[in-house]
Amino acid sequence: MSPDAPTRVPGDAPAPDRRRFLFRAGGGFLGLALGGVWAEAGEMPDAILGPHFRPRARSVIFLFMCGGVSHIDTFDPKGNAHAGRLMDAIGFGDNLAEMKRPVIPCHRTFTRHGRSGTPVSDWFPHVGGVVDEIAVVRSMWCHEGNHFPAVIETCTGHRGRAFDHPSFGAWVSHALGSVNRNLPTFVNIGRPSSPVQLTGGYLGAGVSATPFQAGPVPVPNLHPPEGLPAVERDRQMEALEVLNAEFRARHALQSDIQARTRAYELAARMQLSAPEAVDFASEPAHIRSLYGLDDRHTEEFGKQLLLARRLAERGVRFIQVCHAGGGNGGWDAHGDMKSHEPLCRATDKPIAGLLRDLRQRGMLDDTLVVWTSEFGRTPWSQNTTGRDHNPKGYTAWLAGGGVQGGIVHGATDDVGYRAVENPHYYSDLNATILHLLGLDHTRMEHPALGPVSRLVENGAPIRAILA
Amino acid sequence: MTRGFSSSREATPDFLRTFDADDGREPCPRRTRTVTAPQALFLMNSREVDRAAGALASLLRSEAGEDLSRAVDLGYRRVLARPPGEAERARALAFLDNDPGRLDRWAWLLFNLDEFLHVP
Repeated sequence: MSPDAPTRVPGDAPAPDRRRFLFRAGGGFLGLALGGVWAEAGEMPDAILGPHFRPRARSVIFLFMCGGVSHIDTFDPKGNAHAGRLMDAIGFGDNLAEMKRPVIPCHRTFTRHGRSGTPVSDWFPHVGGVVDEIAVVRSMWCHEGNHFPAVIETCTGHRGRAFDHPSFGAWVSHALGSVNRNLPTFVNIGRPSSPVQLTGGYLGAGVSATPFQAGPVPVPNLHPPEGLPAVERDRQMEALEVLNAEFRARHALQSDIQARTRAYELAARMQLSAPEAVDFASEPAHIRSLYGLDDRHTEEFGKQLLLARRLAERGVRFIQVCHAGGGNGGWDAHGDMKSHEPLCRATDKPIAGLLRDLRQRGMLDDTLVVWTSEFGRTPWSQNTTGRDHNPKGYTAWLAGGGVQGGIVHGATDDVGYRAVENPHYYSDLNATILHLLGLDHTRMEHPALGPVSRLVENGAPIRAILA
Repeated sequence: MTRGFSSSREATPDFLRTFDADDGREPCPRRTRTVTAPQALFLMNSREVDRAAGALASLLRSEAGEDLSRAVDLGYRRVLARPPGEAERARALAFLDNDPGRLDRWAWLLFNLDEFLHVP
């Protein structure tokens, strides 16, 4: 087709500022490489970086508890020998002034479960039932002591937003590409704490998360307005293709435009594939009940995890499920630890159901399930019966996908304040996930930006928990 | 959306969230930018775009009457701030098929153009 002569060249703007120039230069470098392949193959290439070696996991279901789960009340029992002890609480959460805080008692009872005997609190009885599948890492730490900075640090591997670092799922999506071309590679279910958890950053908008909802409408606006005949929409889409062609050719090297082309293609395919992916009609009653769909307390998260399994089954690489997101996050129990109780009840049975279901389907061997939050909670309170933020020591756990089940790795000190035995900076968790996906964490960097863009700056896989 | 327009994500409309409205809680030197299939679906299928297309079509009909060439010219100027190229005009007239009733469906096309959404 002959392109129209533009009367105004979009993009013919005043000189870009220096920062934008540097970003564009970076984007353009990668864009150039991609653009060439794209032009040859007629589509964007999928896998960019890997895998570097044989993967143990095909998909990751990443469960993020927004707000900071108390490790002390869930997976890291400390007893109450130190209750009342005054501790130095400078620099924690919002405490900028020098102050002492008393350790508060933990009211949970812990039971040793399974063959492994891993202790789990009475808030997670169902997860206790599958604890032989789980590797509990009790010695996580990160730098940031407040929600948004910590969410950014944990999900991008970098502190602060100044350089537009991509989220972890976007890196995985970028590195490995999709298995199922009818569904996105990186899906987010549930409300995140921050939009940073969805961003593709400098990897380009095409690898950002696609939000899915569990329910009859997985993605809003999935169907054309009523009364529009299908043949008419086809005609519109054909005309759109032609009218866009010239603009797309002119901006072919911009990741946004490439991503938009793909977004429309994926949108068209999702109109057919997404309703099937979220249609639970084929799920028998015992499976629904396994996820707690028959109980109003667990129904919502249960549906989200059942959807996560169905997406993993269909080849979605990275499924991020955010629980109690929005604002600081529901798990932010400053006032009273009892606020954890309904959240634990809402997630316990669905999580255990997910692990059992994956196991019985033979999917747990190549599906990695990760449970984490941005930080843990302190042994002390702020003159309440709740706990403050604690980035210096907290718990994350992993199951399936090449992880050894039924083990506990690392430890916090005697009150649960600081990771002291095998401490792992959060990057180690990210490196572990990458390792299980067959990716070398030291090679996860943007070709044009170099080491400054590295997803895992320092850190290494937690080898002690690998199967 | 201007950062800080809404301090609460509770109050942020879904469609703004679909298009990366920031939560305004962290210093944000560069806005998070995603290009996702749900955004494409919003522009293709949402009630908002359907209504906007209807409103634009009524406006064009009232301003240009039966003169579809003029309607096409006005539509491009209003939505893209430039006149259509000759090939674009010809294609639009072919799509409209001498029927001002088809302006609704043509207005949808304008809102779905890359050039409408994307400022390079």
